[in-house]
Amino acid sequence: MKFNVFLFFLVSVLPINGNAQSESKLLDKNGRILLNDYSDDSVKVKLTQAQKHLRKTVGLGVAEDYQLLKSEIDSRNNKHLKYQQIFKGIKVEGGEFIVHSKEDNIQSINGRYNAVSVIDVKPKISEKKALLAALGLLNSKKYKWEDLASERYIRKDRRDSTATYYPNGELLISQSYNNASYQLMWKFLISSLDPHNEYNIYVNANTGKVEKAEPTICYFNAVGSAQTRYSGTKTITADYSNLTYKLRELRNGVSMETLNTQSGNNFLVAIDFLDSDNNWTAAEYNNITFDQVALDAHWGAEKVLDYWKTVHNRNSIDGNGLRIKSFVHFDFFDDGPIGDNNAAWFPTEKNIAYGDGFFFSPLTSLDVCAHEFGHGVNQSESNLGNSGEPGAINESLSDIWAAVIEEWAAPEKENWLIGEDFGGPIRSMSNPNMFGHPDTYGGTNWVNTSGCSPNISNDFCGIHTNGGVLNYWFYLISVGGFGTNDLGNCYSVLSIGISDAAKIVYHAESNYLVSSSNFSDTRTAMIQASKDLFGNSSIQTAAVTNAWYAVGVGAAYQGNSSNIVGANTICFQGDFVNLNTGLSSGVTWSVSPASYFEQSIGSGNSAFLKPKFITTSGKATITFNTSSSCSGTSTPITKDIWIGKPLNNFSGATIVYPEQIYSYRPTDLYTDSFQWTVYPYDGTCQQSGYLGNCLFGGGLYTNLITIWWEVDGYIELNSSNVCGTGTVRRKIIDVQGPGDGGSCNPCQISGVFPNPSNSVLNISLYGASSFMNGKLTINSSILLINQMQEIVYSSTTENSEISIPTINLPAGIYILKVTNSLASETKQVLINH
Amino acid sequence: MKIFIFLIFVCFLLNCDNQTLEYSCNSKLKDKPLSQIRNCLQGKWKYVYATGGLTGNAKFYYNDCCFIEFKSSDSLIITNTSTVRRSKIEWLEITDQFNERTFQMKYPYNQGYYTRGVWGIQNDTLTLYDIANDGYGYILARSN
Repeated sequence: MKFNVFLFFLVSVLPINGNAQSESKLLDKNGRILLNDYSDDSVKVKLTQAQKHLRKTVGLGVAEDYQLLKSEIDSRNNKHLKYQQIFKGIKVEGGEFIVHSKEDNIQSINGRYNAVSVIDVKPKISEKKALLAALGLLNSKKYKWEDLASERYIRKDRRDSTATYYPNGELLISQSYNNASYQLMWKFLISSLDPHNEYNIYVNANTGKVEKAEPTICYFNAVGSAQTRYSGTKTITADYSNLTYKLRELRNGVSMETLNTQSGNNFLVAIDFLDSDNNWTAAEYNNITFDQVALDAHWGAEKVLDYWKTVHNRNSIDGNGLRIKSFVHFDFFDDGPIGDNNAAWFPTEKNIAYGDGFFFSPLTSLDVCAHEFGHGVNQSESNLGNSGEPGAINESLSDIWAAVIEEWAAPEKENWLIGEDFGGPIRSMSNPNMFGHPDTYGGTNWVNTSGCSPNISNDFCGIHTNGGVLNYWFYLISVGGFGTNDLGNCYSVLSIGISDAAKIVYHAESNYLVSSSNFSDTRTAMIQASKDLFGNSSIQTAAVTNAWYAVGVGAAYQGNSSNIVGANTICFQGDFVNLNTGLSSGVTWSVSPASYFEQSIGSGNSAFLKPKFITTSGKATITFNTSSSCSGTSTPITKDIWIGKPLNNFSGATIVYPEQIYSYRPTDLYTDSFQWTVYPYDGTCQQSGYLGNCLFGGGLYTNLITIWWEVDGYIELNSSNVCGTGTVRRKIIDVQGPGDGGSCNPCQISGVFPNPSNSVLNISLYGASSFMNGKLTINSSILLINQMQEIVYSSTTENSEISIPTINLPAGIYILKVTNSLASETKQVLINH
Repeated sequence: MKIFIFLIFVCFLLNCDNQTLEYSCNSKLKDKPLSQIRNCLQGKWKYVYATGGLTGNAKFYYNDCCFIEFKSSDSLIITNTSTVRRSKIEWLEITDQFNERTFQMKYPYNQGYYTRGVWGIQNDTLTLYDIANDGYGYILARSN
C-alpha cells in the first residue's frame, strides 16, 4: 500500500516538474513561481533583503505586498521567514511564501502567489449583515457563544477575560472554489453546540452571498479492526481519506487523533499511522518500532471518551469538546538514557504522550490511557495541583478513573492494579503497601507532607506514593472490606459498587474539590457528594464515611438512627439486613424473638433472616455486637423490624366520656395504610369523626374521635404493609353515661345459660316495656368481649332468645354486653371446654 | 554633590551589577523573573539523571553522555557522545502543572522541540522538569 501511495505521489508531481524551467525552479501553470532554489550558490541574496527579493521574484503588482508572518530557526540554526501576500492591506488567503536561509543568505523560496482581480477593498456588505447570512446557512439550535459554560471555558482556556466564541468577521480576499477568481469576503469561524460542529464560512463582502463553508472538523469515519498489543482484537474507528485509513475519527462529536512523534517530541510535526484496509493486524504493526501500541492508544482513547460521554454525559475530556490527541513514540529525553518508559498529560497542549519502552513495554495500556486523560479532567474541574496532598489526590483520582474505565470497558482486566499490562504493575489500589505506598493517612509508607518542600527528588512530596490512601479508600467503598488500619482503628466498610463509587468521585471532583484540597477537604467533599446523590443516611454515605475512617481520615459514620440498614418489613425468605458501621471484626448477630425465624445468619457486615412460617406476624429486634479487642467496649446496635402482615393492634381508651377527644394509634411497625371504622350499637351513622359514625377513613398513626352522646360502640382498625392486609381488630368503646356504673334499670338480660359454657351460650332478653309477641320492639346489640377488651362476637337482634357459638373461643372469662336505646347491661360469663 | 558623582563613577568603573546583588542563583527559580532565570542558567551543565514519571520514582542515568551549555542571548549548545548541536531557546510564559506561572524554555533539537521548565539550582545542581503531569525531572550538575 505504501508503495502505491508513492506511485500516486510521483504521478501527481510529474506534470508540475514538466513546467519547470530548470532544476532549481518550479512554476505553476500560469508561470508563477512555486519554488526557487539557490542552494548551489548561483544567486547570493542576503536575508535582510528577503521581502524585496520576494516582491521582485514573484512579480507583485503595485497594490500588492508581503507581510512577515513568523520567523523560525531550525535545529541547524537556519532561519525560515514566512510571508503573507496582501492586497491593499488585505490578506490574500493561501498566498504565502517561505524564505529559507543559511548563514544569513537566502537558500530558497517556496509558496504560492494568488492573482487578485479585486479593485476596491471597501466592503459593500457590513460585517453584521454578513454574519446573519452565515448563521442563516448553519441554522444551528444553539451556538457556543449562547452557552454560558462554553463562554466561561474559552475565557479560562485563553486566559483572556474578553475571549468569546462570538464570531468576529475577518475581511480577506479568497476564492469560493478552485480556479474561481479571488473576491473580497467576510470570513467567520462559527462554533455550534447543537449540533456540534465548527465551520469557516465565507460571505461575499460585495453581494452578501455565502460563497463557501468549510468544516474545521472533518473526518470520514470507517469502522475497522485492530489487533492491539494489550487488549486483543478490538473494533476501532478510523478516518478514510485519500485511499488510506488513519487513526483519526469524529466520535461523539469530538475529533480524535492518534499520531506518531517518531521518537521525537514535536507535537506539531507528528505524522499519521496509516493502513490500507482498516484491518490493523499484529503482523503489520507488531514491528521493531512497536507501532502496534498505537492501536492500544487509539482504542483506549475511544473507550475513555465513550465512558465520559455515556456515564457522565461529559463532552470530551475538558467538558467542552476538546480535540483528543494521543502521541505515540514520544521522546522524553534528549539523546539521553534509553528507556522512555512513560506516559504523561501535557496541560499546556492538552494532550497525552506515550514514550517507548525499555524496562517496560510502551505504556499505552487502557488503564494508563484513562489515568492520563484523568489528569485532563482534573485540569478542567478541580484543577488540583501537582505537589503535596493536592498532588497526591490528583494522582489518585487518575488511578481511580483508570480502574473505573477498565471496569466499564474491559471488566475482565479489572484487578485493581495499575500497569499490569506493560510489564508492571506499578501500583495496587487494593493493597497499596505491596508497592511501598500507604493505605492509611500517616501510616506505613506515608510521605510526610508537613513541612515538606516539594522537589523532583521527593516526587513533589510523594504524590505518586501518598495517592495510595485515596486509592485504597476507593477500593474499599467499591468492594467493601474490614480490618485494622495502621493507626490501630478497626474498620468495616460496606460495598456500594464501583459504579456508585465513581458517581460520588466525579460529583466531588466537579463540584467540591478545589486546587488546594487536602485529604481532609477531600473527605468532606466525598461525603457531601454522596449526600447529594444518595441522601444523608444512605448506605453510600455511611460507606464513604467509614472508608475514610478506614484510611485514617476522620471519624466513622455516626448515623442518627440505626446503623443497621435493610428492609424494615420482611414478608418471606430472602430479605437481608445489612450492617453499616465502623465497627470491626469479631462481630455477633442476634435476633429476638428467635422463634419467629427458621434461619437467622449473621456474619461480618450482613445478616440473613427467614421467617419460620408464612403466617408469622410481629415485631422482632436485630442486635449487632462486637467483641473485637481493638475496638474496646462497644454499644450494641439494634434495629426493630416487622415480620409479615400487620396484626392491627392499636392503643387508645376504651372507656370514654361524651364530648371528649381521644387518640388511637397502631402499635404495629411499618404499617403504611389504615382504615379506621367506628360502629355505634344503634346502627346510626352520623357526623364524620364522631362515635355514631360508621366509617371515618384512614390516617397515619393518630386518629381522633369525639364522643358526642352516650352511645356505646366499637372502633376497628384495618391496615396493611408491604406483605399485605392484616386481620381486622376491634376494641369496644364504652361511653360513660346514665346507664353506666350502677344496677341496670331497666335490665335487659333475663338469663344466661349454661354458665360456664362449652359450645353454646344461650341468652334470654326482655325489654322493660317493649316485649311483644316474643320480640323486642327495639334492636339490641349483643357483644361478647374477652379480657383483652377485644370483641370476639357481635350481633344485633330483635329476638328475645339468641345463641352464641363458643366452641371456637378460648376458655376464659368474658363479658356479655347488651345495649339498646333504653339501657345497657353487662354480665360476666365463663367459657370452659 | 561631587562625592556623589564620584561614587557613581567608581561604581561604573567597577562594573557594579545591581542584579547580582539582588538575588542568589542558589534557589528555586521557577517563580523568578525571566532575566534571573536566564542569568542563573548560564554555563555548562552535565545531565546526571532523569527521575519521576508515572511511577514517581523512576530513575534513568545519563552516564556522562550529555551536556547542555546555556550561553548569553539564549543560545544553547547540546553535546552528547557523538554530536554537538547548537540551538536557541524560545521562552514562553505558561501555567504549569503546579498551577503556577513560570517560564517554559523551548528549544529545537533533533527532530523536534524540547520544552522544559526550570525548577531551580541547589549547590551547583540544576533541576529542569517537564511541563506535564507524570513527566520527568532532570538533574544536571555544573560542569567546568
